[in-house]
Amino acid sequence: MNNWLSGSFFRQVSLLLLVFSVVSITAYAIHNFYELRRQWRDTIKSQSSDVTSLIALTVADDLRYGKHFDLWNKLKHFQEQSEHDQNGALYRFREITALDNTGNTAGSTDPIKHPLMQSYGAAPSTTVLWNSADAIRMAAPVQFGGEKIGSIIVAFDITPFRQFLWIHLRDFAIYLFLVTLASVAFGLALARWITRPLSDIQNVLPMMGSGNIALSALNQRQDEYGRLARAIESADKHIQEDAKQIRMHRDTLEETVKLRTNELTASNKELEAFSYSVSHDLRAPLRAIDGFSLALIEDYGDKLDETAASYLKRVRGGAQKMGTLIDDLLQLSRVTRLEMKYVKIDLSAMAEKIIQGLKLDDPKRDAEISISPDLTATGDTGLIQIMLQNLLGNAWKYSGKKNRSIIEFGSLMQGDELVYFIRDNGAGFDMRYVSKLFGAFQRLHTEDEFPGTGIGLATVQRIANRHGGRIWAEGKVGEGSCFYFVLPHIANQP
Amino acid sequence: MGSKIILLVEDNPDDRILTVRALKQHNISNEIKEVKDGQEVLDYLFGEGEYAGRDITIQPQIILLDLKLPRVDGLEVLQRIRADSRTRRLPVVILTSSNEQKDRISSYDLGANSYVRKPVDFNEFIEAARQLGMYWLMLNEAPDD
Repeated sequence: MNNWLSGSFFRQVSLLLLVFSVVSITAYAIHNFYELRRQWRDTIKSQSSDVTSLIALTVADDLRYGKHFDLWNKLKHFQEQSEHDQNGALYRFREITALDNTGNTAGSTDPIKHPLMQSYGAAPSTTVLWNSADAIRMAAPVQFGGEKIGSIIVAFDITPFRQFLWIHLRDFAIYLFLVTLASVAFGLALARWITRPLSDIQNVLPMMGSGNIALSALNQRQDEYGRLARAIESADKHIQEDAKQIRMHRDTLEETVKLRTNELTASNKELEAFSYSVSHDLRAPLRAIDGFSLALIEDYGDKLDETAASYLKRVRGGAQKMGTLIDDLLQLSRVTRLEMKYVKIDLSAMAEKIIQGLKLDDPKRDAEISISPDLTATGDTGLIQIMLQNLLGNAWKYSGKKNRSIIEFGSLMQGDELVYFIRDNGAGFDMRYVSKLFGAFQRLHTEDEFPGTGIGLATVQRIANRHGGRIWAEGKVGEGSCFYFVLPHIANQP
Repeated sequence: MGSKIILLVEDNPDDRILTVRALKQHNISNEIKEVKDGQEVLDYLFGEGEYAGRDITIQPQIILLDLKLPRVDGLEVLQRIRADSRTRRLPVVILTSSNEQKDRISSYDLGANSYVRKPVDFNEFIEAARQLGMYWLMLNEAPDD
């Protein structure tokens, strides 16, 4: 029922109109009925009172002089008249009785019930007595020469009045029924008339944006429906126009993306070729410089004095430094270029291996390494390897001047994000320069303190970025630094 | 058995000198045949061009092959060596300064026996050359055919 009603505006409106009309018509009918009855009662009361007074006046003389027969005749005459005069009469005399001053019957149209000269019983005054379902009694004093000499009691039969009332009531019932029918029909029609345009509108809405919406049945109307229909038609046109624009922009954008992709591919290829030739061609002369310097030291060492030997050492140092620079630069550019393959990586195992390598190069170092077990991430193995190599290598390098190196690799939850960190107790850095930390060729230490190219952290940042992650750092001079990074879990990467 | 020739394919004269010196210094007394580009090595191996008439039953014990070569590049040379039944089993060690992953992968794909990056640090280079000498000239016997 509830669904039936709430499912349709038409039904809601219909039901509302139906209830409204039935209630209002019923209320009107009831009110009307009672009002009618009251009016008729008033009329009967005043008419019967007048009639009773008239009879009292007519029979005053007969009662005074004891002309019982005349009196009876007159009463009889009244009654007969009322019996003849049926048309439209609301009442009839049932019996008319005259009483003398002592309350005895002086004449009655019903002599058997009220014999002459017998006490009538409690003589009523002028009050109307509605004491019976179909009769009322009315009393009036009979006066002669200014004094009361008796009274007239008339019993009126009000059956006609009751019949009349019932006929009215029946007519009202029929009227009520017809009006209810009419108002239901009208209500349904009205509800249909109100809700029909709504379903028309509903039917065209799926076409919104096609530019084809035409509510020809509604759009000429001046009322709310007309305005709504025109607004919908215009919105349809606008949306179509916008969609066209968006499609156009999208096409242009696709074109642009294609163009840019081609450009990018071309420049990537160029860069690759460049890196390749840097890797080969820059390295060859360096090899010659370094190799022949060594050959000089080894083959002609006895002919060189100390200064010459130290110069040659510096030549070799320079060549080797430049080799490292080339390696780092190539790695930095490769990190940006290489296609990534996402796999699940055991970071703990990877870090363990890197640390082993570092220890191998520097076996005398007193180091306390703690790597959380079960650290995993999704990423490109090659790139993550480079990243951890750089970060752990830095931690190793910068904690080298402490009596004991403490390096920790772990993770923590920050909100709902898994953050990895690599902490050391090394040289640290001044937080004022934290922004320079990840720039290429930016160094916060001199070459004498800690050797390096200044490319490592730039590479690390690129790797984090390529994974859609972030890296940041905290540090304090002389106390150590901590590098944090986030590698978002990318489930549906190719 | 034949003579244990080492075929060094290198276009850079510095690298040639340094490689030969490194081999000599580590008591590798084999004859070292030096060729300067990809075409020349193919001509040498197959007895064509300027090597027309060479007795090609005498093949080198090992080929040290640079990748970046004039005329025919190292990868193509490797491909041609592996494609020919006469040279298919020759041990080829790629000797290059390239650190490109794809070079390494494609040279293994094409059948290189080993891959050694020419290090700038000469000590490392000597170590690499020494290991090569150990492996291919002293321990490994070339398959008889």
